[in-house]
Amino acid sequence: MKKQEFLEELKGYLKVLQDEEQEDILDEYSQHIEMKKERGLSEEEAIRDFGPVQQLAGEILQAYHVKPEYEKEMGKGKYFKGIHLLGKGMEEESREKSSSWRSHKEQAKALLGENGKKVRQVVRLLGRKIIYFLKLPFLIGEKVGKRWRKRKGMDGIRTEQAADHEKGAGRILRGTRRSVVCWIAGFMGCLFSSVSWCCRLGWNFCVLIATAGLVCLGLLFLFLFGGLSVLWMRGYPLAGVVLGCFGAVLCFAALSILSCTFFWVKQKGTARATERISKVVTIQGPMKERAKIEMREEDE
Amino acid sequence: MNAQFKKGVLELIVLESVRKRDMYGYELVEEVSKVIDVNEGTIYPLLKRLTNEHYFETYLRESKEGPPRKYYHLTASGILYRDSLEEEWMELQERVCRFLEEQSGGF
Repeated sequence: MKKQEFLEELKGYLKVLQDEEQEDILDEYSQHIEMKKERGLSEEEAIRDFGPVQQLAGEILQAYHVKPEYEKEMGKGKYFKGIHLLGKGMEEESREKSSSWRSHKEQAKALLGENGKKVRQVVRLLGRKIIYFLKLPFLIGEKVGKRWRKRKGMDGIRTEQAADHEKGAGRILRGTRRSVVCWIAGFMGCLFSSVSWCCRLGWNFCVLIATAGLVCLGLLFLFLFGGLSVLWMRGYPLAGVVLGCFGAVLCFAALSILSCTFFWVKQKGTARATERISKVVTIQGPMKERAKIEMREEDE
Repeated sequence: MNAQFKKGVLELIVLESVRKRDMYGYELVEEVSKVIDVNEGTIYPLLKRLTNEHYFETYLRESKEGPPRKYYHLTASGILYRDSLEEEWMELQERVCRFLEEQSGGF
């Protein structure tokens, strides 16, 4: 059967429905056929998968609760007759699936054998290298920050932790060029912090102005609310306007509180940076642990 | 598998599939076919019925190839209906299993 024939026949059965509904249904089916054709099936095959057109139309009409004589014709009734065997059937199928999955896995294991072990080791090693490179920028950033602070005299005493970090990062910045690099890094750090300071100043100024404006508007509406409610008490028909003013007062109060949260406080920025670094460390930590455990397992 | 079984659980499977994300008809047919082998024609009438009963909302979205597709979205009442169906299904399945076990254990 061709697509056009199928749609025509289906349309014939759906005449009881409104025109838009008919079109909607036919659209869905023709789209479905198109998609099947894209998958490489022929038009006939795609349509055959729908089953008999009459039965299909009957099921569609059931969805609208229309005309019992149509439903009778299409043979409903049998719907839930055999459902009590359902549980067992489903269970069996799932059991079949899981057992076949297990056998696949075993096969794969046997196939890989010794080579598989080697491949796994190489993959693990590669993974560790990649993580190290990902971590590199953070290590450098940390080191640069420390050096710059020390130069400024903010970080007089070197803690144990800092020493550890420097030992780690020292591998990266080795050799005679160290002092030049440090100087450049310090300069960049200085530049970055001054730019960020300017940005913060500008941003906070904008937020301050916005907040002030919102507060002023809120106060204005509060006064309006007061005045209008007095008039309303006297009998003017101003109930709606008074309610509106009340709403506006609440709204502006909430908005001004919201805008207060937009102030850029300095601690936030540094907190975020340390959070990022600590995240990297926490990602690293468990992975190392896991690697160790796996190594131990392998040894056994 | 028994065709009547499939019909019985089809509604639950369709509702569950759409709960995760909105889907269009053909996509949904494919998703359902992963679980049970079902006649493609029967899913559209089911979708239609569930939409008429306000368990689904539909909207059109442009697609890269071909005409715009009709997506199905599960409504709040659809979610409630799905939950009740799931409960019923669990209870039915449990009871049937228990019954079968008892029967086979007796002999």
